[in-house]
Amino acid sequence: METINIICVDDQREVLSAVVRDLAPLADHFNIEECESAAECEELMDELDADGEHVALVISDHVMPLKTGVQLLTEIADDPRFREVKKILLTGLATHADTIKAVNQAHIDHYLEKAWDGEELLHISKQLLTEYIVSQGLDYQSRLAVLDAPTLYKLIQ
Amino acid sequence: MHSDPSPEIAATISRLQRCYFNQPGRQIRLNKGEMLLEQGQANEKLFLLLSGQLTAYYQVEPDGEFFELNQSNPPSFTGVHSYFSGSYCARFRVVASKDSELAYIDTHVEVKQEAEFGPLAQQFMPVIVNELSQRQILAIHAQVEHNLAQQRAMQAEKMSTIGQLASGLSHELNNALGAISGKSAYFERFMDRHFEQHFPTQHHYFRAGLDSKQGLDSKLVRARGKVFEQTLGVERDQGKALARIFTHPDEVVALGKSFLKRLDEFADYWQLGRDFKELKQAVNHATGIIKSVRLLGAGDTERKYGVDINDTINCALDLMSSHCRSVDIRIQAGQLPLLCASHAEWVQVWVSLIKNAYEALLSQPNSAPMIRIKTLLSGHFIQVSIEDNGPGIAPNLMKSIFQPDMTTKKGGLSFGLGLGLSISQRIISSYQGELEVASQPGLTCFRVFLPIEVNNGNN
Repeated sequence: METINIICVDDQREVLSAVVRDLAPLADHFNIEECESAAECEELMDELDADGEHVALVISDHVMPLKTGVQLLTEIADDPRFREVKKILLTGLATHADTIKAVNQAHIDHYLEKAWDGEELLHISKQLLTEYIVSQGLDYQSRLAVLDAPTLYKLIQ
Repeated sequence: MHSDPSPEIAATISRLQRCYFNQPGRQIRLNKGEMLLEQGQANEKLFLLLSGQLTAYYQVEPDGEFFELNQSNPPSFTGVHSYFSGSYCARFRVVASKDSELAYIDTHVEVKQEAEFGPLAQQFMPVIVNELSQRQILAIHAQVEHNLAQQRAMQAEKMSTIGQLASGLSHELNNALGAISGKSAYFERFMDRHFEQHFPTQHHYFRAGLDSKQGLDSKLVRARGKVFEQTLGVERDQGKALARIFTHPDEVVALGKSFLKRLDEFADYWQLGRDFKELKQAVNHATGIIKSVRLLGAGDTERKYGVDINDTINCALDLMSSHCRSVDIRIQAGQLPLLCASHAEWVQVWVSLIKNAYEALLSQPNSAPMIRIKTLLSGHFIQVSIEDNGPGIAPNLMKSIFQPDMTTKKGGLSFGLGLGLSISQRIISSYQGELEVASQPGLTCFRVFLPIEVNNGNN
């Protein structure tokens, strides 16, 4: 079966590992990758795309060295290869202007504030992954255990 | 407070003294504390102070307090207003602040050398004008001093409000952090003992995670994970889990096939240990930040021996790190002698300089914004340079950057402490140090020179 990736981006390792821990219930069906910078995420996405793998979801922090989360997510949104990638901005500090940019330019699918609730992050991730899988025509039957049932029901009705 | 008169004025005064103020019958002596004139009382005399010192006082409201205005030293005139305005009434109270000798003329004075120098008023004109201009200068000085004092008072008030907020906030946060760290430490000990007794094999991996060194970077884990994946024929996430625990596949092979079968379980225990470690790190991080904010806000200016300037820079960086994350900040710290200084004041200086550099970097698009901080001991000075590769300071602004109200910042992220370069400069000069700036597009460098001898606590 095709590999579907979730990429988490945060420059603080302990935050990154905490995000990954919250997503652990998805680990059997998705490959979860960790990146410590926007550049690393872009490099990894190129690689995964070249290997023919799917990137379904990017969860990024905003305030990071060199390139911010909003910049990263904007570039992903503008890249024809990754137009369908779902995007969550997870941030402890974003100005009003940053937030507007995140919505208008990066077309983020969800905005979460730190400190986040693990259950909520998992639930939103499941919803977005469900949307991705259906929109890409991927097999959802085998992944029912980790998909969001109401979202799936709405989409395949 | 009067400045020395110009040679022309001095010559005029000495001529007038020879002509009018050398009559033995019109000389008076005052002991220190004696009053010469009382505000509002009649005065028909013009006095020339020959020796000693007079102080003028002004009462704003009847029965109100007298404010000290100025002091006059010889040779200077007193009673200029009452004598020449024709009011013959003293404007100020004038008291001898030292034992003084004076000479005077009254309204009956006989005009001398009229043919050469004109009527009396004309002869006195230069000293009248001089007196007026001196008083005007005094008034300007007083106004400037007043404005500065007001600014300082406002700044102090702002800092004290921030200080109170910071200390209240840090108290609450420290309580919460104390609970988190205390309980997680207990939890960690409990699990450690529990695993040791009941799950010795798993306990080994729990400990390994707990004692693991600084976190591996995600790129390295991914690359090494691939090696494990290929050599050992495991899943991708298993490869990554192994890459976090081991450095080489041989270490895993040495543990035998049974280890690989239970890899997921062991990796979980390792990660659990790692989580406890990261929990401690996060608490330390938060505690450090709270400490810095508190130091900054409290405005503790007491100077104590044992301050390492490098520590104060690190403290400032901790404080700024969450704000400056989009900038690559590097510090190259040299070995520095300890100083007698206020930790808080220096943190304030660095925060202000780093914040300034950061905001300059944000003001224009920059693909690789960076700040370089370097400290070194050079001869008798500690030298600290803070460089940024921002757009630089416009030459026309260069002069005003140390002014209290100077700012080029517009909206956006702001640290909100309102600490300007003027405060930094004041702190630096209070240590007899200097702050220099050199700027061109792409490279701005603030350099602080701090003499060690006057600040080593031996003076």
